[in-house]
Amino acid sequence: MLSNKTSSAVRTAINALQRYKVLNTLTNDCFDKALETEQQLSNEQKNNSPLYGRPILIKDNYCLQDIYTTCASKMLANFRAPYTSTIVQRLIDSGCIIVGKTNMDEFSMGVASWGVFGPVGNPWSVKKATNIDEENLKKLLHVAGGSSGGSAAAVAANFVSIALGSDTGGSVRNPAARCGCYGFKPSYGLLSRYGMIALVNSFDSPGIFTRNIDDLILTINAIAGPDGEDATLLSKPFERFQSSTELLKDKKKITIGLPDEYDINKLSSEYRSCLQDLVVQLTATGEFTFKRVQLPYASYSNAAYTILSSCEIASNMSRYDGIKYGHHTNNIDESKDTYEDILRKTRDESLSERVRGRILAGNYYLLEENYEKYFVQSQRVRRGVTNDYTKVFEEDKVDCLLAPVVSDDPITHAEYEQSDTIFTDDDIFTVGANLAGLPALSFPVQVSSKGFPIGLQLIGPFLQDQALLSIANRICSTYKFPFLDLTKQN
Amino acid sequence: MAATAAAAILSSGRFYALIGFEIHVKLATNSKMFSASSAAPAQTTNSQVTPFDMALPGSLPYLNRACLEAGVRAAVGLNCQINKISHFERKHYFYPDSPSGYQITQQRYPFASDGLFHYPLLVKRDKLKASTKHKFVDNPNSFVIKQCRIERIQLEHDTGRSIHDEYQNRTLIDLNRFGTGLVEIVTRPDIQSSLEGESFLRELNRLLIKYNICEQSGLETALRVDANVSLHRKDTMPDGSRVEVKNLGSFIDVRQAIDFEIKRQEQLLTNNYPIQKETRTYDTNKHQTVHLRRKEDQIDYRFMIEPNLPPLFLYDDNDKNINRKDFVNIDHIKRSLPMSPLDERKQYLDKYKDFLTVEHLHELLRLDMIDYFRDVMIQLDNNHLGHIALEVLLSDVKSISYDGRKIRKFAQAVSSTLFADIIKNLEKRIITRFSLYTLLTLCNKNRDSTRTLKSFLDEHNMYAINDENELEKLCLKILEENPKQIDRYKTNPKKVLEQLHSNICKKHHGRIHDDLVNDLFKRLLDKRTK
Repeated sequence: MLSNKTSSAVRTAINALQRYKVLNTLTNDCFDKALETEQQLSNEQKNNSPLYGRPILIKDNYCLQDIYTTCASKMLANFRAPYTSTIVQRLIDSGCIIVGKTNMDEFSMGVASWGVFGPVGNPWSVKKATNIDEENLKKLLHVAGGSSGGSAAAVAANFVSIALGSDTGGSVRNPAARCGCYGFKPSYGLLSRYGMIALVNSFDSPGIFTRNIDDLILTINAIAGPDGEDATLLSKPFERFQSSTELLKDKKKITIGLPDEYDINKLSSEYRSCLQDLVVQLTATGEFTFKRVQLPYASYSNAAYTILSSCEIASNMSRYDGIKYGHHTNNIDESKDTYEDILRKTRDESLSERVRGRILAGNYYLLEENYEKYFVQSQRVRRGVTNDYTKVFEEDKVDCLLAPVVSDDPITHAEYEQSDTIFTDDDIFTVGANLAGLPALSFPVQVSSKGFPIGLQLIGPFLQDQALLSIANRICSTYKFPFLDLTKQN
Repeated sequence: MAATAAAAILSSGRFYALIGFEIHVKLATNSKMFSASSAAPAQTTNSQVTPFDMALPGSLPYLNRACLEAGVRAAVGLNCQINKISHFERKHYFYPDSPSGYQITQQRYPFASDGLFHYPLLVKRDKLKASTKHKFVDNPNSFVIKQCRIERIQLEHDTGRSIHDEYQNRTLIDLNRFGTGLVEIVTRPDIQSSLEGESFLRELNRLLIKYNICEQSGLETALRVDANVSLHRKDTMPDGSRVEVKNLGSFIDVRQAIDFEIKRQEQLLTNNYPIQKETRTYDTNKHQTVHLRRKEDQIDYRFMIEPNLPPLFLYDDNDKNINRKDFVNIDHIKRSLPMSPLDERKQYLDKYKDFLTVEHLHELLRLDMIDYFRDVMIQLDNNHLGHIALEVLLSDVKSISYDGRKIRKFAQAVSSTLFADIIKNLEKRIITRFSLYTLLTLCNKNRDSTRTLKSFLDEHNMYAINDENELEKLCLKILEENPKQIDRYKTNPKKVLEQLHSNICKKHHGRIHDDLVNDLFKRLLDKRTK
């Protein structure tokens, strides 16, 4: 809680963000407004909630009234939403203070958080580095994961303690693992997507980054539940989660599944060992048993995800024509340009190649002659994926699954620029939970030999979010991860 | 005239026509189908636009229950099978009046299908014989009920409005209309002539208004119609090819477009040209259809399930938990619906059987006077008055309202109460039958709906002369002015009485009772000529 004499939490956050500008975690800031709000809140002193007066960051795909919301795209670089997203508003109502909008991959497509404003830097890259100069930057900084990299990096570095992201195919869990913090994707239908700029409506879920499970629970309790705007939400009122101390009281034995299909070749020996060591460690406590399980459809999940997401992306991007808002081309030949010509120029100029590629693919799959072959068939595969999980949870009597999130340490920005891939093999770890709408939590385990955090994820049964957090809480209490805190560096 | 040509073609027996409709109905709900903004028409440009209506990023659709219920009423009224699970889909195409780049509709999984609608064939009595000859009407009984199968009904929303500004070479967009609720009704090609088509649409319109699905519109109708027309040689099977005609905004447009198409396609067939599958548009000025695009150039709309709207579930009495407030119960809606116009008219035939025949009812229907007739009958409590009212409606009112075309205006100017008053006064002989046409015309022109009958009668001195003495004085005056008639009476009494009658009526503008004056003249002349 803030009083006039104590230091300003917002000011601390601002100082840290500015000092580490090189990490490029923000697209736009609301520093002045945040300081004003902090002052206002401390005068009013409305409640004692631990969220009151807390500075937070939100990914730049959440609409915040009158503030730029860009999705790191030229198309929305000048877009100011006239309304605020539901969950952001609920956080504001709880007393949270929005300090800025975080950097991301353009329209949430990618795993490097590299959009029109440039890439986000992994905070662990600068941990050791003393000399950061412009020329070396790309070789020095490492990928922070994506697409919610800005939020993850900021929380991992302790610029703020809570940040919002979004997870469509792993976009919260991936950067959380890369940056070393908690990244939670709740069950689909728990958090409203109203005001969160859509990528793939069927898979998108708002996600939360924190440095401990308490804050995760606090945040969810503040924002979950129906809102009368999002028709895909569960209609029954949300039952608040118990605090982490309450959850720790549960001592029942936990069975955790280890899917064979996630043990891929690409997984580095160091990352594999991390998982295996954790298994040994937890088994020794006597509270956990592990068993191997099978998810036969897992090998098809990437393909299904690719097709279904391209289709929805092509559809969702149709609205970007520059007529109502957003970028509009200036290159108009009044004598001959038709509506279609202007539309094409507007979109060519402002949507990146990656985005355009997904749109093209999606439009192909959605052609009348292809719909059954690709879209409908992928939905069948999706049901297969979902059934795999259901079977494992119900028949194999497993409480949750433990899996990797990424295969190896992050590469540098320079290396990333050279590479060509749109999708990575790592997607297999994360897309399953999106296809099935399951809750999944990425949590940091240890630091790699090269000095980067290694994270793992838990995947739970649908709507068993509280149970999943409870298990995570118990697991993470058995060891101490050395969280980064760049605010304490000199 | 395309109409005569089409009629001749169909009656020749060498060809038959298959006509189907795709009808878009504007739903009469307060707010739009997927957003909370008002659906009221004719408001300030772009003043009824929520984030969803302008496709702001992050906006989401939320189904309006009133639109769903209106849709279910339509499905019940059209005797459709209601699919308890249906899905919304996105239909993609780029156009400025569609801000999201797609329309939300129900293409593959509509909520209702396989219905059947009965409608009366509307044909003028004087054209009835001709229609029978041409086999438009199966039998000389003038009240023919036809039927048309309904293929499907789907829920969808309307687009915005584009206004093309030729002078400044730009298009202006008004999004007020974007997102307002529609149902699209698709019929099977059971319609076989423009007469059937118009009759079907008029009865459909009546049903939709009665069931509070669409508003009674200031224009003829709240329906937008596309017609699919194909002409085939007798004894050949239809090959699925057909011509789609768009931009039909009124019943007359539909009739003329169909007739034009039949004539055009007959020319092609007779000269052994194939009929191109194409989309044509109707030119309202030239009364012709004009080519728009070929079927091969048809757009692939890339239909995709709408991911932001869960499957649509409808329930009935057999379902558990049927009392849940967020469930829409089909049976409950069925129970709350009023009688169909068809059944209502059957009821009138029974209720007023003393004077109302099927022919009368049919004519009232053709003139669009059924509602007015009903409202007037409520105010007249005996059959004698009813009979008089009916007779006046089918003669004077028919004429004043231009054969029913201006009946709406007439009903507004001459309230059913005023009309009923007139009939009562007529029965009491306070006014004469001959004054009615003038009186009704005056009332029709009047703008003040609070004016009483008395004020009209006073202002224009239209009271009948019932006082025998006074009437005698007037008759004597006429006789004085026409002495020759007295002489002529001896030789041609009938003619003289006619002329005198005509004379006095002309002089006293509808205030003379026929029977009184004829008796009086006869008496006076008899006396004189004794």
